[in-house]
Amino acid sequence: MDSNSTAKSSKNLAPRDGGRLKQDAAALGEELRPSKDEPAACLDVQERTPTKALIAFQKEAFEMAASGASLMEVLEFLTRSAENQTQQKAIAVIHLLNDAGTRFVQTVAPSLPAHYSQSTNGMDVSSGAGPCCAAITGRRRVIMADVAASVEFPAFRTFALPLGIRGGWSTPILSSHGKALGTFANYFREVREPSPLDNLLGDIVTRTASIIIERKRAEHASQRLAAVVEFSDDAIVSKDLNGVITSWNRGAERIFGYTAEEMVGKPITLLIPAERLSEEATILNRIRRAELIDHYETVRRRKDGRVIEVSLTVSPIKDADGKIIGASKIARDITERRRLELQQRSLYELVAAVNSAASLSEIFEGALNCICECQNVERASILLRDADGVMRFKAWRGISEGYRQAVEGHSPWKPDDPDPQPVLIEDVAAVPLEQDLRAVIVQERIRALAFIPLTCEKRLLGKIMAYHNGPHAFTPAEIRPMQTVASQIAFAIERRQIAESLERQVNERTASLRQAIAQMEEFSYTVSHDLRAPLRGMQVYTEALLQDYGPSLPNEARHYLDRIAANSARLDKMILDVLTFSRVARAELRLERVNVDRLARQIVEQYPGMRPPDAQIDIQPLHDLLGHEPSLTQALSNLFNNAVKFVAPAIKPSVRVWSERKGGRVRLWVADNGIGIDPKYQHRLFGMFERVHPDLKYDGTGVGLAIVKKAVERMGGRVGMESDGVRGSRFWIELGAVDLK
Amino acid sequence: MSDVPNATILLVEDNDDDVFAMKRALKLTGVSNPLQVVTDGQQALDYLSGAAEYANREKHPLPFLVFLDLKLPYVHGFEVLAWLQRHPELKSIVVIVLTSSAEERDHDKAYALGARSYLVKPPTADNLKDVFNSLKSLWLSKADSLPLSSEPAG
Repeated sequence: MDSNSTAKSSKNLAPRDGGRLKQDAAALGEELRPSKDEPAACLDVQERTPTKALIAFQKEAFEMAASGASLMEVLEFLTRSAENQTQQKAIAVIHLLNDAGTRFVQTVAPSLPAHYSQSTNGMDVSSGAGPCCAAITGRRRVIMADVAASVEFPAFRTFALPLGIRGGWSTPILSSHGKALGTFANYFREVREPSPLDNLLGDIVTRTASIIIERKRAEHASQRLAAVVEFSDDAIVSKDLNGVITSWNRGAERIFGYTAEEMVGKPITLLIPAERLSEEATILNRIRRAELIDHYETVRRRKDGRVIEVSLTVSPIKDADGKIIGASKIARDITERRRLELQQRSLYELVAAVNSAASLSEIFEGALNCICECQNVERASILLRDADGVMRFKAWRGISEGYRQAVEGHSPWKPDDPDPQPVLIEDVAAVPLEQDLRAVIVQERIRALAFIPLTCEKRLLGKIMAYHNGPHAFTPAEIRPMQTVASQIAFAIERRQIAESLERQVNERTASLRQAIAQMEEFSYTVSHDLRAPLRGMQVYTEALLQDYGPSLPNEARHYLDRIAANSARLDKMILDVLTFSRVARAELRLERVNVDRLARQIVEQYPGMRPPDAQIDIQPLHDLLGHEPSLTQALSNLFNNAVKFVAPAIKPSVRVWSERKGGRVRLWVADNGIGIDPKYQHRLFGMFERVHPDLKYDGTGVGLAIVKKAVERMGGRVGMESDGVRGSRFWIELGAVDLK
Repeated sequence: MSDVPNATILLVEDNDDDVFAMKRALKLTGVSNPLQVVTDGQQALDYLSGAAEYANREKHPLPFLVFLDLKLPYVHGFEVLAWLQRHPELKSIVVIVLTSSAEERDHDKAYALGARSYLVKPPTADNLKDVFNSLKSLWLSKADSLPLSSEPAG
């Protein structure tokens, strides 16, 4: 048969328009009711020769489908029945398409060998490989009266001829909406054009198949949906507009504790705590206005009386006409979520308290909150080991004084346990315990306990406790936050102890420092008074001797007395310098603004040796600076004194004093025209008793510059000098500047 | 030193050498007032209050001037000053503190307790002259109230 004749036949035999088909399908559907009139309407008016057999197998197929046979069973029945109608001349085949309508996915071909199905399953209909593909893509019956003569489907020809197929046609199975669901093919072992009866048979099989496929698929989808609802973790409940429950899934049984039998037909208000009853009226009013209530958080009461927190989503249910007839309600138990939120919040609060170094009592309070939230208990306590290592209650909630006294000192760990682990008693009644201890615990109505060790660097500091009223299976998920609480407390305690010991150390050191200073002052006082007294005696008598008897003494004796006097004077000067040094070193300094210009001029006023005619000290206007006036006086006098002292014989000392401001510092310069200091000795200059000039030429104790350095350093400054060892020296001291305002 | 009132001077000093130095310095300065010496703080208090052996004011007249060492046995120089402050009837007595060092805190405390001046030991004729000169105006203005010695100047 060529394509022309195919097209022509198709035109004649094409199924009626969608509307008509739908009507037919609906009429065929009526066949499911056994006592119905003859379904004449389903037959082509021009082909009024329906046989009883045709009607019978159609009816039987519907009954099979209705009584629970699978789709494949029904389709196989249809193909066999079709073959029977042709006295076994026909080979009937049904191909089913996937949802997208692009591939054949199932094949029902009871009279063909298995390899037929294997090669057609998965076939792409757009390949046009055979009449069935063309029937799908063309939405019409495709007739191939003589397979051997056909040029249209060469692949099909080579495939079909060995199977004994000589002729046949394929009719699309279309849904009520005109969507292709598959094909019904009738192959013959002879060359054959379809007869009117063949056409009728094709129409009846495809329509029946279409109805059954759709119905089975819808059934399947609704079963899937029902399963989703049934096995949902959430409670899914429907109710009518009077608030009477019409369905109740397993999630609802689990969350609320009532079975479907108990609840269907009962008012939903059974779940609502008395004080929230008005909520239901509000919800129903909103539902009547077709509003959706989304994630409304409230509380509901379980069958066991426990109040749980739920998140509700309520949406209206409409009938086929769009009228609102009830509501579906999805409830999620958020009690656990709430508890985790509270637990998290209490942990955050504890960590924040620890970080802000709150008092231990505040931290303990936060920790008790955490323990109660984490364990979902109302009783908890914190114990710390005292100086003797005995566990003592430091903070508690909900436990009696008698209990505290009875168990204080008890510890499940050895004091030197290097790695104490939590001890969890899930049921006091089920574990061996000392008789006395058990009695106390039972009397306190404690059924389960958790002991969580508080440790720091493997030292056991104490423990935290949670007390349950009933037996309790502790989970790692609830012990972990307890350990976090424990480590936070341990950290806070450790830090407190470190701070205390640090403070103690500082106090001890300050005290010993004060004592050392007091001793030093006592020593200085002794030196200045008692050690100098005999020296003074030597000086007084030497002088008296010289004055009173000098004239009668030989020159040499007078010279010796002079040397005794000079040495006594020098020793006294050294003692005084050392005392000055120690006074400068320990003086309490408070830095303040010093008018150093005035100070320098006053110093020069005080010492005749610094003024003309003996010397000339030229002071340029000096910057004010931050210093301690007595210390600064000491330092400047020593510098000025040195500047005028170390001068070559016959040279009149000439000194220049000026200041520079550099950033936040002021540098005071004292430049002289003296003998200078060889750079190789300069590093020794500021040391104690260091003298870089021979005793004989320049007297001095070697303490003066050490005093300058100590004084300036005590004021937070620096000293230094420059000299080439020939043309005088330039000493400087640098101190903080006063802000210019 | 003709300006110095001709009355008794009390020296409170425990060190013999310092007593020697003071006597010599006074002599070199030309001050020939009668000099009474006590060697500890308690004796100084007894002397000033006329207690025990010092009850006889003929023999132990009240001084117009006291040279007071600070570091004394039994009763410290500061306590002697404090005692004097509590006895306003003796407030005309001028006290000059003898110190062995230039420790400022000692001077400050001594001034606060009513000392008029201080002398760094050992006293010399020059130092004594300076001190007497500085007190000259005081003695001139208060000449009437001085507890003059009954003995004539030497």
